[in-house]
Amino acid sequence: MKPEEMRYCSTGEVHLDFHGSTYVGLKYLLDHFGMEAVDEVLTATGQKVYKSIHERLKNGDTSELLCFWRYYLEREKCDFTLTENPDGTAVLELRECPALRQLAKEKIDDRPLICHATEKLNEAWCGGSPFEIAVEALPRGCRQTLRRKTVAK
Amino acid sequence: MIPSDHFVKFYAEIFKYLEKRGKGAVDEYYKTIAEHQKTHCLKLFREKGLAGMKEYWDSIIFEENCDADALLEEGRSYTFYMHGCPSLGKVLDNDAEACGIYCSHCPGWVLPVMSAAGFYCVYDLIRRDIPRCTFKVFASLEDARAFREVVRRRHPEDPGLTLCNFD
Repeated sequence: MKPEEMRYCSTGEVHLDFHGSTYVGLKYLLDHFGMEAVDEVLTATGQKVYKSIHERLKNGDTSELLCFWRYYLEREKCDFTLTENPDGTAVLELRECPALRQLAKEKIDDRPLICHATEKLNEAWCGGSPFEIAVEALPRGCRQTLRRKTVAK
Repeated sequence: MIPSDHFVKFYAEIFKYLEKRGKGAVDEYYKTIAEHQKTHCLKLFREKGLAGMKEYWDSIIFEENCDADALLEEGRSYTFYMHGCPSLGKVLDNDAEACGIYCSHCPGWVLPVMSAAGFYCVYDLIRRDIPRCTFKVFASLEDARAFREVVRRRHPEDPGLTLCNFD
């Protein structure tokens, strides 16, 4: 997929302060309404805002998610490698997470909540699809493996 | 990860969640946002006053790709004219349903920051479903009150489109 074919293809300047604003929103929900509220809002974001990515995944098509990862991580000047396989699965090696990098500049140190948001968003995207995304922490980022769900025997 | 480009779409989902829990939940969130925003701009506003506001929003106009103009009348007022708000624009260009209170978050944090900086601010939201608005900041309370009357007369049918941080 080409970036201009994605449902949302942002252009122009990138306002990195918004990572701090995202964190403030997550933290507010957590402190006032608990993790259920965090998860409800992230699920709505993953499945309603990103309906196109979610629907494609449900139909076995990972192309928009892979394009999304590459396009927006490049816009945020992130140090990463995205290895795509012919069957649509992929490994995203995020050596420096742009959200963690920006939050460190703002002296915000709450990696568990930020990483939880990533995992929940991934879970929302993959809900009802044949895919799952496994996340492993790296020192300043993570490795995300988009793979087919394993069927329990 | 939610890209910084898409923060506002996530933001709209937060407001939808809070709206279901009542006005108090929304207002409390505005206070939290205002406290966070103070770390970005309050020092500048206090030290440089209206010129500091011009400096801050000029950088926002560039970084957030706003279609906007600003007018500084040194020592008297600062006016921000938003012709095409990228924030509401992104919220409206969205597969998720619209958020009716989205525009209110902007005065929700700006007004408390202006109070903390010692200035008087009047918002004209114009409408909540088009990406346009104006706000004007004054050094003088008397000037701010006069402008508020002008804005109120524009919206006799919807007083909620006129917002300020005084009286």
